[in-house]
Amino acid sequence: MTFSNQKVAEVVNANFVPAWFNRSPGFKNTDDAAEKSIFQGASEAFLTKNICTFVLTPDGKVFHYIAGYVSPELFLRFLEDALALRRAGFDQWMIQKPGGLESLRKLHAERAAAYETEAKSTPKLCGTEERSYRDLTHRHGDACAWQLGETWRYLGRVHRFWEKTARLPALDDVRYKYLYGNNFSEEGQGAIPIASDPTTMRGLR
Amino acid sequence: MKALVVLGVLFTATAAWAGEEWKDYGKGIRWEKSLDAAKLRAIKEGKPLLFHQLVGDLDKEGC
Repeated sequence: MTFSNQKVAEVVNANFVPAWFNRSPGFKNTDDAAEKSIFQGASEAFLTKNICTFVLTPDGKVFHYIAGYVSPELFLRFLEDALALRRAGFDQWMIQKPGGLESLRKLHAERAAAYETEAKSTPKLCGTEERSYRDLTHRHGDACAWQLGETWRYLGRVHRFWEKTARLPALDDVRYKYLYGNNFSEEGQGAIPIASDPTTMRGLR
Repeated sequence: MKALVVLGVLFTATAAWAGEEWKDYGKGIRWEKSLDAAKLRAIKEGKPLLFHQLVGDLDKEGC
């Protein structure tokens, strides 16, 4: 749903080079009930460890990520953050600027503070229009507001992680070990598992 | 002359991307076929990579 959104496609194509990877070859999605449940109960965001989207330099160093599914509106905000980081830390050819790492850490700290503040306020839902996915429709309710608050808390944690990062990690250092919001996963036996996150929202309660 | 310029711009734009347009889910995003291919284009275009890791195949709506 998010990648089918026209505005998301425009922003991605104009500013990023996208690629995807299946970490569980041979996996067949047969759990239609789970898909429907997630769409209807967590339309704003479902911050599962199942999925992660990383932002990298061309030489493979990661400087931001988000785990799980988020709505097009939230994903666009994630992309805005990534582009602000790109401008702060790198030159026009994506070479790290002198002092670029410090600039990245400073901006991550600012974003963390902003999301932490937002998490304490009344969540403002992203639009009120009906959404559709396959044969389902969804209209926002209280559960969506809760998901949004959890998303701001999660993004606050992710930005705090980056604020404290002394050097940009290679993709292989983080692709199976990242912060996420819930433990939902459905990989097959051959998949490399994702390391447990001791600070998951479930664990905090 | 104008047509040649337009064709030239179109050729330049499409030559930079070696992936395939998807027909349904994810239509619109120009996915590269591999991370290595994406890295090469990112270097050439001076853009960051957006790397989406999931369970299943994205073009079959993996999770």
